[in-house]
Amino acid sequence: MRMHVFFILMALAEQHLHGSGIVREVLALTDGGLRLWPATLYGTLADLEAHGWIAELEDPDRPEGASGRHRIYRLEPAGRTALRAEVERLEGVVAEARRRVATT
Amino acid sequence: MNMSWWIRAYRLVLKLYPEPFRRRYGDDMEALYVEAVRASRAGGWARVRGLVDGLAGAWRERVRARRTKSTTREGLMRAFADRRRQDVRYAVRRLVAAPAFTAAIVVTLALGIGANTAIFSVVNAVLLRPLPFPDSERLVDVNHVYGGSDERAVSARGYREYAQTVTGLQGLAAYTGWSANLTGIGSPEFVTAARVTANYNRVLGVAPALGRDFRAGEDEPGADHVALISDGFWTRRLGSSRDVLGTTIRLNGEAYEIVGVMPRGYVDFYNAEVELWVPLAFTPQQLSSGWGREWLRTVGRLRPGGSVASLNAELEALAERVRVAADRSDSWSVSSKPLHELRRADIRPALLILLGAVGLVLLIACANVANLLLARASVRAKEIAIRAALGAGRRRIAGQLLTESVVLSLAGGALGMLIAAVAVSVLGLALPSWTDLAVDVRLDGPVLAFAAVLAAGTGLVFGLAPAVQLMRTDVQHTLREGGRSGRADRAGYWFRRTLVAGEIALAITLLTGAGLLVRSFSKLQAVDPGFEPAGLHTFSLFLPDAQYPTNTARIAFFDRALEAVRTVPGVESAAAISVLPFGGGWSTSSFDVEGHTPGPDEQPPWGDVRTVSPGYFETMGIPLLSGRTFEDGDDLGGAPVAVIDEVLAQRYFAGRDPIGLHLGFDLADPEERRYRIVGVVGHAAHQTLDDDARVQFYMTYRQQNRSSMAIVVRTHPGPASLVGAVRAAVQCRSRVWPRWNRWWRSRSDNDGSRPCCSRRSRCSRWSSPASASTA
Repeated sequence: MRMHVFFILMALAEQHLHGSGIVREVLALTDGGLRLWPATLYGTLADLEAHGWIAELEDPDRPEGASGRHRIYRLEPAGRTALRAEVERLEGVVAEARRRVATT
Repeated sequence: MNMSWWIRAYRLVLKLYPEPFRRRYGDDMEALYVEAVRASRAGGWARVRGLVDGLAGAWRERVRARRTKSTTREGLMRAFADRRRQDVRYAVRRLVAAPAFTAAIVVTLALGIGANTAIFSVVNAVLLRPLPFPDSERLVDVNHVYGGSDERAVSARGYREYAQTVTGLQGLAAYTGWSANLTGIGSPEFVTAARVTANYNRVLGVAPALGRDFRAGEDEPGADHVALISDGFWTRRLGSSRDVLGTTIRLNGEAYEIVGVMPRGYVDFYNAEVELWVPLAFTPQQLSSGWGREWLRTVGRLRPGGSVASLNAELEALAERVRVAADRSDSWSVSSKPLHELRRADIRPALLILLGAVGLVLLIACANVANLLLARASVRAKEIAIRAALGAGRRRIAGQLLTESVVLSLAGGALGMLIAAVAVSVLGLALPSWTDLAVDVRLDGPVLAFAAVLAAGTGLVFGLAPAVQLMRTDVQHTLREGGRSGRADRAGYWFRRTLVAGEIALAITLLTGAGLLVRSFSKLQAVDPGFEPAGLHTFSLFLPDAQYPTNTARIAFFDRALEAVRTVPGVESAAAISVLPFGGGWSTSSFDVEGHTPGPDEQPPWGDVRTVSPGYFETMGIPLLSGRTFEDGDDLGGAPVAVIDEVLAQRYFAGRDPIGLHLGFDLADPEERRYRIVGVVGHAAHQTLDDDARVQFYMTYRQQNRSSMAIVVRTHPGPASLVGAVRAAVQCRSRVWPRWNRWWRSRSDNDGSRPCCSRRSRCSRWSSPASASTA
């Protein structure tokens, strides 16, 4: 799983967010290391939506007459499962890395 | 830096995205971009980074969109093909289950499609297909034009001038028809031949398959006794022998050496029956005769880069110089036309009308078939309604009905092709007698394509009717009513009545047209040709130069021949003429009329010129209206005399008495012969039955120089042995074989002496002089 997919899923794991919210959350999670630019972000979101890992919600707070939809995303069960699987994989990797570091 | 430039740039980048993606995310992306740029500390870098990201994303999304679209399209096409296969199977099953109905429709369509295909094959052969010569669009012919008339010949003097001086032409060749007695290789025969200038084949772009073409200079007197033969002649008379080159044959008694054989299947452009070509050597007399004395046809090839328009301009300028030199102000001119148009002008209107007529017939057939299908559809209404209720989309069912129609029309088309093949072979036989140019009618690529398109199109046209009706059907209503009555049925009934009315209208149109044609034809039959054809027979005599070298000898021969014929019992009278009426020959000239100057826009006097013997008018039954006809006393010793026809008299001598006045001919000829008019006779048709535009001017053969004449013989209705007797009478005075012409199918002779074959067949071949069979 690519890095930005992982962090997007992680960002959506606890709350529903819209585009800029996801970007801010990912920046926070990576300590400013990963900034998602619009094309990458929305391209990935479209992909994840097509796979059924995330879904879109109407924004009840959308001001009347505002241009464009304010898109809110939420993590779907399939996405949560994928995230969990990836976390387990990473745990396995970290455990192995710890073991090797400890040997010296 | 102005904030808006990079926003504008980003918006441009967004435009690169596929429409659906842009519509969905475009605004959010822009907002995010602006936020990101503002939040970033390295402002300029952030803007660029965002734009690059935007471009990369655009590319990604476009690739993704393309991939999705193609899979969807493939899927759709596959589904379509599956449905059509199913439809075809279903359609065939249903049609086979109703054999009488299917047969009726298929036969109706086959007749319509077959007729159209056959006529189209003729149209294709005559009007559309290019000539069988290399670069045939650059071939033209050059001819003389008189005011509005479309003359198609030139004079010898004219030909020489055009060939030598016209720069717009790469080459110009001349052609004239010829017939000759062939002896020296087995049984004697009359051959249809052509005399052509030495460059004739080179201009056309063809070459002999065996041997060589004529060399330059072989069309001069003395060097011209060589011949080219056709492949058919080589096979028929010479057994395709390889030693044909160098063989000597005798034509009209003179020796000619065969130097080449033309390729198999090659036919002469001007006359498909020509089997032999010899060089055309102009005599000094021919070259010094007038500009207006036309008897040659021409073929020219445009100079590379030249056009017909520029050639015509050059010819017009040349004509102007000739007119000025001859001090004429009339509308004679010289012009050229592309060669492929020559074979179209006379027959094009007739062919197009015919095509239109069979097209209408096909329309009627379609309407008929649509009617049948509609009737059947309303019977099947219940079945269709059930299918619709079960979930088959309306469009699906309509598609199935259309498939049925297309299957029917393809079957009709296949049968129609068979009918067309038969019709085409019949047409191929009949066509040469309509036009005098070689035409090869056959079912080739364009014709088959036409038939296929017609079949498919027809199917869609008449298939629309039941399909459209279906779309307007109310399914529920039909189910409830049991498919018997109702709105849809009434609408269908109205539609069918319209179809029937349309069919009747078209049929009446066609019948009216046909009726008018038949009426015209029967009127033509009843037209008075100006002479009395019943009881007339003709034959032609061609004198070899070797035996009859002088004019005196020739005149004496014809005198004796006519005398001999007159002594045969059963012969009422006999006479001679240079070119027979309806004989297919051509001899015209322009001339001057004493006391008459044509205005600048007026067509100059021009018409048929004929040389006849004394007694010609009496033999033919042409009435003498004033003055006298030719007498024996009009001979070389006296002043030249002429007899004109009544149309000439009315047109150019209105109010004056023509007797005693003079005519002269030869445009730009310094020594014009002046002919004194001695008589006026009735007009006689010469080329077609409605050509009273052409006037006639007769001279006596005693004052001319002719080596061939056609003899006309008027007989009492009598037995076939007349042929033998006349032949014997002529032959015992000479060794010339007469050639019988089939002629006017006269209404009163049913005595068997009418020759049985057309003038285009080989009935002029003899096996032995003693045979008295109907030739």
